[in-house]
Amino acid sequence: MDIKESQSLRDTLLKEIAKCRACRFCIDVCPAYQASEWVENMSPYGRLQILKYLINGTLEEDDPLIYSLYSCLQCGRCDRLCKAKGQNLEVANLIRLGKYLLSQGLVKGKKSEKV
Amino acid sequence: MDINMSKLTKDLGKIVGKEHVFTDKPTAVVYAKDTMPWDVEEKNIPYAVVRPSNSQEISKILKYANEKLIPVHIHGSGTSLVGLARPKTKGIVLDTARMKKINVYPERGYFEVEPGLHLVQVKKELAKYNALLPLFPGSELVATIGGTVAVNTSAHGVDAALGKPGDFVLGFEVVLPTGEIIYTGTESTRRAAGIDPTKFFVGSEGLLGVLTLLRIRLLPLPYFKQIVAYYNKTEDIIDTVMEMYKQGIHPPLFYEFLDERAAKIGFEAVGLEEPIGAVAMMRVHSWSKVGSEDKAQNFLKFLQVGNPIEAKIVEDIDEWNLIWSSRAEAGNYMYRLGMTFGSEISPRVDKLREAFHEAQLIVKNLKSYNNAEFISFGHIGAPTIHAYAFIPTKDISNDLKKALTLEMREKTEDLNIKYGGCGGEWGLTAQRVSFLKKKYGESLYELLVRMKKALDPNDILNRGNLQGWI
Amino acid sequence: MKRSKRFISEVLSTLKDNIQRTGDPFGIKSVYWTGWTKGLDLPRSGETILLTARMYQMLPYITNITGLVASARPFISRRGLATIVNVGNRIMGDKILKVKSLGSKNIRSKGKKVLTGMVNALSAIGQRPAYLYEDEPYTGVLLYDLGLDEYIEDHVKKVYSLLKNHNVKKVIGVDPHTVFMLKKIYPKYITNYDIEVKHYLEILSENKDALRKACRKSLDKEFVIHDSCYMTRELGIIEQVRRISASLDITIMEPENNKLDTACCGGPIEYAFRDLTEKVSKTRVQELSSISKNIIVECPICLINLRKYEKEMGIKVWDMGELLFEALVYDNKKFNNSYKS
Repeated sequence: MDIKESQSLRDTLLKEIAKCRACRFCIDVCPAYQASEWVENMSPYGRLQILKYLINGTLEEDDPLIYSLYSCLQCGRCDRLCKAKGQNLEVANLIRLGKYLLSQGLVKGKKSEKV
Repeated sequence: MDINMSKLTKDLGKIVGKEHVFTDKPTAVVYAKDTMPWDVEEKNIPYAVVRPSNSQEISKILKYANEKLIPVHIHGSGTSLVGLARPKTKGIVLDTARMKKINVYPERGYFEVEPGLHLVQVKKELAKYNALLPLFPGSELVATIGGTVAVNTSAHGVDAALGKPGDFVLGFEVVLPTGEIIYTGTESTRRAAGIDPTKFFVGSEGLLGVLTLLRIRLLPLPYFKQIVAYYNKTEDIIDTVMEMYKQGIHPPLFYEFLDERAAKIGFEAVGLEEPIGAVAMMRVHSWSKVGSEDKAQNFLKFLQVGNPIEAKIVEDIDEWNLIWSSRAEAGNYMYRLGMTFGSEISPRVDKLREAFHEAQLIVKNLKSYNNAEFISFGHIGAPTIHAYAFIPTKDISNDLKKALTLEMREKTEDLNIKYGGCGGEWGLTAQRVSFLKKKYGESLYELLVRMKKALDPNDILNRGNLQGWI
Repeated sequence: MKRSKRFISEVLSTLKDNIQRTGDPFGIKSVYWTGWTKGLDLPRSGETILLTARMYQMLPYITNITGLVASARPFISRRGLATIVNVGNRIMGDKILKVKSLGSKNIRSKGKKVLTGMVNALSAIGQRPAYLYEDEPYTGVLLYDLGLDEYIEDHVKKVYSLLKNHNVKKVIGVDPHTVFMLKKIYPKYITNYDIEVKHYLEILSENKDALRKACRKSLDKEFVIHDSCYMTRELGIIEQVRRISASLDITIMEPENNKLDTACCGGPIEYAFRDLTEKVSKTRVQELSSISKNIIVECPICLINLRKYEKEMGIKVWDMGELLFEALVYDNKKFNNSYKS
């Protein structure tokens, strides 16, 4: 995607993630969170925060970040419990869009733009 | 502080195993973030997150921290509503999530549980033994038992009906800030009298030690009867609560309300018909079935004192679940339209009406923001007024979020002090320190500082919370 | 966790290359997905087609490739790893067809049974579909799952025009991911999208009385159901498999995490994080096997993931298509021998 689309995606992600109040209701049902022995960055809440702090520059696209994000199974159990449902926060899809954003820097054969 | 990261990683790895030490930034940020709406800053982000599995490991971690003078912040669920969870200064985050064992001993009359188990899972285990978990936070899906007892909150439960979590704690295994492992209390169901140190650690907010094993008395599940009452205005509900205490009537275990605005939003959110005004929901409890029915009938008669439009016992479980869930949904749906900044006012009962009106004025006259809307809903029977300032937009700066949170907190604290209240269910340190000092005075605060220093001379555990750092 | 970035990058790049070059996620150019149709005589064209999207037929290759990569990881250097997954794949892709692995014949025949069962069931209720044989496309669902949105539009348009060229008006999908892709994602990229998409279980459920009449025998056994994440939460297809099972005289036992709360099999991250996947799968298998040793699944990904533990945990995993096959065929002995008592 070009720079304008990339910026628009980042803005959308930030706007959507702002709906998350870090209530952490979603963490227990996440299969990756359970399988990692309850490490919070392997939970939907964790992934949303990681995405946010990646976009605002605090974090970078390193191994732990990629591991966190791509360990999401897209199973959707988090969306069932999300307290921000009233604002149509689609947790699993946001994480997927995060993968879309990262694919810029991960897929070869393209001019990769650092997030 | 100059930290040699590779040495720190290695040293901590020797204690808990390298796979249970995390020094990468993504993990650190996730553990630093709490429920407060403003961003995590560099000073909040820990050097490492360490995940012990037993008290021996915690003891070694704390001894190491004291040796190197590195602060340690305890992490349960991270859901504190007064900022207890966010590390106030760079250090090590100690995550209790791996400590989840629970053993129920009906023949001994108690159960023992490690601090990292989420309340809803404790509840599930206890239900097998027909036992009640006497703690009721709205965050029970994720709140840990260690954290809830460390804050000693009954949250949604009305204290006067049952008591606080600490009333049911028989004893602890605690790791002191300097690393010693001590045992307090008793294994009998008759709690220790006298200067039992169990009491010092209940509600200690992570300042005086790390709770590593909690022994809690088994209580049987009571019988409940559900009542819903519709009113023209909130003041009628408030008058009812005041009258209830005045007449010496035993309160329902749960006594919730939605004000006119919240009731409309909440009922619409769950698909119920819009109520005329405010709504109150109660769960009357008794340890005998006949008792619960009798109590409910009597309470229904008593409710007439507040002139409800309608008050009835709800027998249909589905109908009740819908009505009850409108409380939670009111909050969730308000967030769709903007942001809310909350507060807790638990005044002296006979001052409830005045406190409520002043809370409304505070919200309408905020300095940080013009024309915020006042909304209130919550455990009015406790009594607690959760007064919310509702801002109809999400587009506000980090600084404004902080300013609004702190202004609401400070002004409602003054209200708590004016009307003799303690401030409610969220704890007394971190963002509550200014209140602590205002309400109880410098002498009491100094006493706490001395106690803290006596157990934690290097100020290792949860540094910054007693100081009131942000 | 180490080298995650390099590894994911290689996988994503390979996947994108393969799909762009061949339309197939494994980059296999030869036709490997039509063998199962032998003896079924499905018409080559029609308004309603059965779309397997090659999903069940991929199963033996999924075992091969991830097994190859997983076993290679600890021993091969970064560059070697890249060679196998990326550059090597261009040449290796077709060679994989010849690579034998333990149980690949087994899973191949299972896939055939599953698909045959589905076709037989649809035929039995008078809705025998057409099938595109060599022209059958892959829907590109992996592109969506892995956030390769940039490459979706191209692939979607190619598949859509293929379907249009075959005058397809209605698609009967046999796996939840394909149905999800065609029903929810394709319309986002195609204006005036007019293809009707249904999952075969929906059709069978609507005609369950006719299905029951066509059954040669009643299966009369107990199974525990493992609902698919996409089937329930994304597509809302929940009761159908239960109604159909009742028609086959199957007793469905429900695990605690069922229907809209069903727990994941672990499949979606199996390509990347073996250890994590194993823990997720085992947790689920433990929950299911505590209720019954015989597990029903309705998705090829669930099938391949959970059946890995058949030996270790003493379970047997059945795809719904297999049970339909058993019910419509006369011989009971083989079925009774396979059922884990």
